[in-house]
Amino acid sequence: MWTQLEEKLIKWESNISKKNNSLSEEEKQYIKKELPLIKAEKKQMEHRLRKLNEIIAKTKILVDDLTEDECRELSKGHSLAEVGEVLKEEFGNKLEEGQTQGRHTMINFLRSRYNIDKKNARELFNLLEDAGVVYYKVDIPKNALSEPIIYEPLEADVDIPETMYALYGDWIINS
Amino acid sequence: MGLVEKFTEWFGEKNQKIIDLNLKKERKLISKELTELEYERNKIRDYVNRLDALIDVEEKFISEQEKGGD
Repeated sequence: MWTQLEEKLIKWESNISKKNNSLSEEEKQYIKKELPLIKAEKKQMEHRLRKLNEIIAKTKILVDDLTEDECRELSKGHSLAEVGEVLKEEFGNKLEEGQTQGRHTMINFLRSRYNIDKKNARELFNLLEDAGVVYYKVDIPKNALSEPIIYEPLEADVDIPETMYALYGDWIINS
Repeated sequence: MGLVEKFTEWFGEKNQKIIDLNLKKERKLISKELTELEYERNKIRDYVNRLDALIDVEEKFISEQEKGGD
């Protein structure tokens, strides 16, 4: 579908680019005839855009509702807002721990707070992350923006050295 | 099949898929659909912007032609 649309648009755009040169009478007439077609295409596409925005809005609501249901299931009846509040009471607005350590700290806390198994605590934490209740905010030093991030495979049975990471941050609790 | 029919069919299929996934409570799969819909929406928005730019140029061209003809 997009290939055909793109071809159509490229044809129109290439016709426009010719206009800088001197045009024959025939070409001028062609351009005049072309304008209503482009306007009709725009109307059609704006209609599609509106319908897509409708389905996107509906899908967002469905995702939010399912997220809320899953949260209640995993936490034994608590809403996303309640779980977020509980995390905030425990850790404040931010948890100043590394990405991996902070995750473990909060998963362990959820596990004991709601008396759930490790798997459910991990899923609950992922859910909170998906819903934006918790997120890891990376602090990127200005001079690091232009530098490439290099990936080096880890050796087995070796602890991850902190120097491997150029970016640091905090866990934000956004309840 | 023309573009209008293709889009209508695509839209109907997406709609049905979202309804089905919601009934099955497939949160992750609906989220994936949402991302794809947003991607399509962004492409259409870009397409409309390009059409707008074409219309501006064509209208300017026609009005200059008309002025030249006067």
